[in-house]
Amino acid sequence: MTRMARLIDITRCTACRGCQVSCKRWNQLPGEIGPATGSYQSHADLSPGRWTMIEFYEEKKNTGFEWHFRKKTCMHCGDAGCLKACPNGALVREENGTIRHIEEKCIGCGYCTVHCPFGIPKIDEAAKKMRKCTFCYDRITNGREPACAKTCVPRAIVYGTWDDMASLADERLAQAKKLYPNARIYGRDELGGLGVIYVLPDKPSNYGLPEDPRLPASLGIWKQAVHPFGNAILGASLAATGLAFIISRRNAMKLEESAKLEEGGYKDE
Amino acid sequence: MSKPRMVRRFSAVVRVSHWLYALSFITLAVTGYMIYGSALDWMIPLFGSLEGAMVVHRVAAVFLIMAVLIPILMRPREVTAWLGEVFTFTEADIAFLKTFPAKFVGVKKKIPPQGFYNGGEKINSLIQIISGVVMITTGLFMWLSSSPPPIMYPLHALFMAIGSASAIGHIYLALLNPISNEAIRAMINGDVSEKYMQENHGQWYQEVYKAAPKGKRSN
Repeated sequence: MTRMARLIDITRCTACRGCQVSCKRWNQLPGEIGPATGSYQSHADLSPGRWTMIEFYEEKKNTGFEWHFRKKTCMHCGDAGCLKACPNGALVREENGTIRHIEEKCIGCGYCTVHCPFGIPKIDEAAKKMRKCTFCYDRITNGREPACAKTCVPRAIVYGTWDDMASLADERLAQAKKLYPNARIYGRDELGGLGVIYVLPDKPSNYGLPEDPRLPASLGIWKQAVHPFGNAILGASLAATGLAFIISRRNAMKLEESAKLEEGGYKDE
Repeated sequence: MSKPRMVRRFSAVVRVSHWLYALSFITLAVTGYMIYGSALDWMIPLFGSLEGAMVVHRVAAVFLIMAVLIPILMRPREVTAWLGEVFTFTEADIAFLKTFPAKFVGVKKKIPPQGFYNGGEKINSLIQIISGVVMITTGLFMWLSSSPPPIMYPLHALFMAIGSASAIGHIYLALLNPISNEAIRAMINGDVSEKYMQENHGQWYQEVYKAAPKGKRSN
């Protein structure tokens, strides 16, 4: 199957939060009442039971007050930090690009939360499981679009193959440039191409996104170097001592035997 | 044959700390490996669940840190003497390491006179000191910091492997190797026979008896 993606066109988004509701509804996530955030934002952050939300960023400029907002959700990165960090193989990349979470293998250790450049995975402390957007894996593997894309009224969320979304982003960008001269595409080149391609009206940092997301070098070290090296030296140490034990027993027995022979051989001989 | 004369090697505080360290170390290694790899996953039910194992991991970590602090606070001179020996590598130590492969497989060879610690013990001590410091530091970060620096995780895993590999060798030499396992007496009763001391730690023997030479035993 080809890699699928969502185009999220922030220049069209009206921050209606329809996607937030339809995500809850399809995934049967209970509503959560939190404290007021001091802005139009509904909650402080994503949670184990809130896999997408609109984040609001307020900016005071010389020209007046400006409002930025963005649908925040798992990007299903081409080069996924969470997947590289998971020590138990609980995250896998599916052929359609989904970074899928295998519940039974997850131990809720939280390594993925540390290594996601976008702050997406959240740990359900009671269940000791990580939770995040599933890319509506159940829907998209059955030929449907994700719940958020389905419900989006201004067609700000579009679902399709990654290549289609990448070229649609160009079309949308050309339109957006008329209104937002600083508009740009985010997610096409970052981290091996994200599974979410944004059309942003302005620079990424206005929308709580890292300008140049990178995975720490230590991540590669863990899976590609430390893990195999560690298993190798542990195995070598066990094998060497095991072998040495057998040889040393033999040597000890030989010594005993020759000592007995010197004393005049075994009694029953 | 008369009773062999015994020489005191380790104080009770150091011995108790050693075994406290050993027990916590093994507990930490077993529970920690459950996150690191899957070879010990069959042991998870013993702890109820993986979360249970992680609780045990933290409790054992507290005991291990205690096992480090107790001798530092109660027997500082013994600890500094150990550190001083371990961080000075002499020619005698290198000479010892050359005979080590034979000793490792149980072939008795004449050992060049060694100090209080032989070259092998020094290397094991060095590995344990370095990996212990790294493990405790990174572990505390991972436990207590809300956003630990990512490098802590591979460091913790790397030194787990180095420290454990060395510990496996240490356990083998102490418990199973027919030549060196007399040394374990020093860690249980605190003393070794004068004969063992003379054969295995010639320099130490000289240091102890230089001032007041005792009647030499001929065997």
